[in-house]
Amino acid sequence: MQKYTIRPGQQRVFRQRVTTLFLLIAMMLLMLLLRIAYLQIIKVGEYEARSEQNRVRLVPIMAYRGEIYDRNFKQKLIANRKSLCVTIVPAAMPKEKAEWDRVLGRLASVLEMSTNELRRLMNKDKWDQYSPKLLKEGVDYQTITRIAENIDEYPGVYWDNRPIRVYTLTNTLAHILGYTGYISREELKAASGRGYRPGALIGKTGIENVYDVDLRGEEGTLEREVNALNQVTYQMVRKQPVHGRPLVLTIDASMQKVAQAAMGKMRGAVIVTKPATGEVLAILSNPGYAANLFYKRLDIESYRKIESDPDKPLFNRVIQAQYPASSTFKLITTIAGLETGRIAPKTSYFCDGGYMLGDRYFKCWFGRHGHQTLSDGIMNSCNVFFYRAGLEIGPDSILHYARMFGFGKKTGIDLVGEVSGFVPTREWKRKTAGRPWLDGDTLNLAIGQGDLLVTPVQINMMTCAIYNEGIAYQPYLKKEIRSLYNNHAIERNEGRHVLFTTDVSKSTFATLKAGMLRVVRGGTGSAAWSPVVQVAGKTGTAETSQDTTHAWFTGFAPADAKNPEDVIAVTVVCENAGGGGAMAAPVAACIIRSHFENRSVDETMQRIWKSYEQKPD
Amino acid sequence: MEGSARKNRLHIDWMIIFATIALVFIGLLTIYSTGSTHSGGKDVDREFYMQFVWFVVGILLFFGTISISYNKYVEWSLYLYAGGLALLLISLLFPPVKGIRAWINLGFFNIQPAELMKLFTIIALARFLNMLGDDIQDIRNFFITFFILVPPLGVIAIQPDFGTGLVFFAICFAMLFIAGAKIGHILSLFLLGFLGAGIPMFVAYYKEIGDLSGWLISILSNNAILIDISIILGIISFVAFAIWFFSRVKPVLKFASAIVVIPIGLIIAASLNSYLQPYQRKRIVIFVDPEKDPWGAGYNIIQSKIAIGSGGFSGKGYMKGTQNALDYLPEKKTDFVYSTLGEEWGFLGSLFLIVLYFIFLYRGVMIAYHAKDMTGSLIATGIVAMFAFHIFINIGMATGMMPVTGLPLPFVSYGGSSLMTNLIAVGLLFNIEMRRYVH
Repeated sequence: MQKYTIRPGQQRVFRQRVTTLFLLIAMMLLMLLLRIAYLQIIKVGEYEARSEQNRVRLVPIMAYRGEIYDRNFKQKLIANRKSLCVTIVPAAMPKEKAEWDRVLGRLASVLEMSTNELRRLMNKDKWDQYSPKLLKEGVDYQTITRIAENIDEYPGVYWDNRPIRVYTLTNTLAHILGYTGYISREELKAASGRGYRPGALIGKTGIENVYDVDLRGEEGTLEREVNALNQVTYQMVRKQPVHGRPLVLTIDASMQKVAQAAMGKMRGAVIVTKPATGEVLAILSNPGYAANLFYKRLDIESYRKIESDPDKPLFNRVIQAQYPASSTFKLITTIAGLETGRIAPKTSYFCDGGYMLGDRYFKCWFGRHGHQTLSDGIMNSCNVFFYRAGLEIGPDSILHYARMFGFGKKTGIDLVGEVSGFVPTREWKRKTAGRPWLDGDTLNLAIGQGDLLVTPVQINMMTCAIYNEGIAYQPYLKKEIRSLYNNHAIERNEGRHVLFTTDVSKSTFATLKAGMLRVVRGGTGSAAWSPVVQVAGKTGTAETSQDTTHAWFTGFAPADAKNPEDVIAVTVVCENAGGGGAMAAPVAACIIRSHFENRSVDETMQRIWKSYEQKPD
Repeated sequence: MEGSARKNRLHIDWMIIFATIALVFIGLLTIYSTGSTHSGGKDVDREFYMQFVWFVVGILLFFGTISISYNKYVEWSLYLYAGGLALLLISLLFPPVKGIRAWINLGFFNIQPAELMKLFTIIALARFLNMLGDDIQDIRNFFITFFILVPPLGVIAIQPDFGTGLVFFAICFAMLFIAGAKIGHILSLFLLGFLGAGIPMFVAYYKEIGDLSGWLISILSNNAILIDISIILGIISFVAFAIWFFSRVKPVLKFASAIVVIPIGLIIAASLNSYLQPYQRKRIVIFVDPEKDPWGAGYNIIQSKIAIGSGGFSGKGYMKGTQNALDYLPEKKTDFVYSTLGEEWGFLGSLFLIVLYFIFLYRGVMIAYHAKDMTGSLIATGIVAMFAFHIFINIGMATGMMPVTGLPLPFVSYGGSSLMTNLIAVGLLFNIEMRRYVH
């Protein structure tokens, strides 16, 4: 052994010390062993007893989910309401079947539910035997007392205070706000590591889902000691829950109510945004559904009914429905024409009711428009004008500008399930139709029919881009997150996230705007006229495979606003409802006028529908 | 003793290998068991798979470590030390986990640089002490050695991670001891620190969690008693000093200097006891148990003891622990992994565990003893001290003998950094043993 820095005399010291170290370590281990022996041999009786009787459980204290407000922080869109509920932990129930059945029977009678129902609820999420399963919500105090007083007859049964979510504006915002439910196994796996436990509430769809992390807060922990008779002997809050913070949406509750009233029973979608920032002021998919229904989680029948309703109420039409754009698309055709120089403001064509292409006759919607300049064509939505313009311009330019203005792409609005619409291409035509792109397709394209499919939100973005003269900001719903303590905004979304920009010239936009003003002043969109603000817009009447047509209107007001922040862009589509000018424009008018004229919903509706005999519904 | 005629005669220590693998295996079993609580055994949390992955990676690191002579690591010690320090500083930039900023989060997995730093510090200390040789007996050098600890301890104090900090001291003391420093120095310093700092911390901790019932605590928190003892011992040492002054009998001086440390330590302790403000006390508590949950500490320990105690002689059986007791404790895979083990395998299982650790530590000490040079002995000593301290603190805590300080149980606790560092350490031990006859 060579220790080259230790003198021979020191070797003995070294050996001694190593031995000492070893002895110290051995003593340490012995001490541990003795301590363990003390616990496991000497005190085993006491600890066994405590382990059996002294069952301390850590029970999660649900945090209140953040409430959701409209943009003025006054109106709650989703609120919490306290509710006592009864839960059961399957693992804590008696093991023998007879006893188990008896407990179930007692529960059934005290809760006034059927044993089958209880069984079904207990078997939900069978993979999790330790989380309390909800049996009944909104239980009254007497029932709880009855259980508590006879708690030994209800092993495994617990109760606690669980806030439930209620909508205050039923129906209109159902799709947008979404709903919550208990976390499923797949969701738990997907969210692993982010603090979700079995039995946690999670937003399933809509805003509840998109902003779940902000809304859910943090669970607290309750330490609860239960003796052998399952009586709670001691309870203490171990960790206070952190409640979810209020979420303020960009939605304007009063505008939303107007939109709902105006749509009435018509199927379709409405979206109102602020071109200056991208904020969504109102968003509506009709029909909605009574989302409060989703909180009676036991009511399977109602859910089935909703799911199989042919009107598809669960479908969020604003972002998921793909319609033919129809005449609203003529704005794009115009842009394509002006930018490529194929048409000019003074270009004019003669409309005698239709256009003959080869052996097919393409009709105009109106018998005969006569001479139409570009401005006239927009105002009257003359198909013939655009047929001919379209042929001049050619499909490639039109498609190019369509894509530039965001069609065929998702807007990325903070909701789940958005679809991207469809912009055809020559290759696509060749592949699917087995023939090349023909002039007939161009004609259809120019007036927004044919293979082109758009979502209402995309049309709205196009409208915003026109007002902003070239830039569209991404639509969004989350405005702010506030603090629970002093209500100040902790997080604020200022918007202005650029969705797309265009290289279209100012003069083209000027021409478009002028045309859109004429649409409302004396053209197809006159129903949207307001005495108070300048409204610019475009109507559309989309042909479908059935006899009915979809009615479109999209526009903005005030067109001459001094402050761009005051401008709103409204897009309405009414399925199978008729003409755009007749059915969609009035809806937009309700929204625009009630907003700017500061009248009540009813007043506005009366004024508008008075001049229009056709109030739907 | 074989002649050095056979170059590269490799000496393989099978015992250590066996002990290590057995411990890792036990750890995996226990983690599996704790991971399957909610589903009653059908599903397992991902920690089980992660630990397995860490083990495989650790084995690779092990082979990497033994491939070069450990003397090379000693040569590089400065770079390793600096690198480890850099990593520690980086860990401060990440957001706190469980109250401590001790981790570097690389998305998919985390590293705890302090673990590696323990090894790098051991190597650096070994080099330094080896270089000093006999000069370690000089009291100045004795203190200078501790300066090597200052940089890593500084960062660890900021994180803050009290338990890990203590490990460094344990390692340093052990290495100083083996390196030949004067016993008097070691004991005095140890005693001083233990009394002066340890007592107030001890007292502050238990005061905060409201449990002043233990016999030890009631003595230590009672300043009057402390001062009484100080006075008595102070007088004794004064008398001893006086005797030495007149008789110049060397051993008396030694006696006097040894004794005088105690009163000094106790007085420091007493003054800290009374002058510590509540907020400072709270800081100490948080420092020691960063979960900031006085009930939590008490609660955890109680549950841990119940789990262990109720395991009895032969345990409740694998996967049959009433895990509800520790159900929502994430620590049951790390700090309290022994609790589940004790509950499921009882005293027999605990005995087996202790025996495995005994074999491991015994082999470690033998490697230190037989190493070919001082450097090797010192590294082995540091490593053994590191492991021993972890084991002592972890099981001591789980059995309620000491406050929660969050040290993992080597090889058994879940934790990538810990497992890999430990396997590297085994690699170092192996390295030293292998090259025993290689020059």
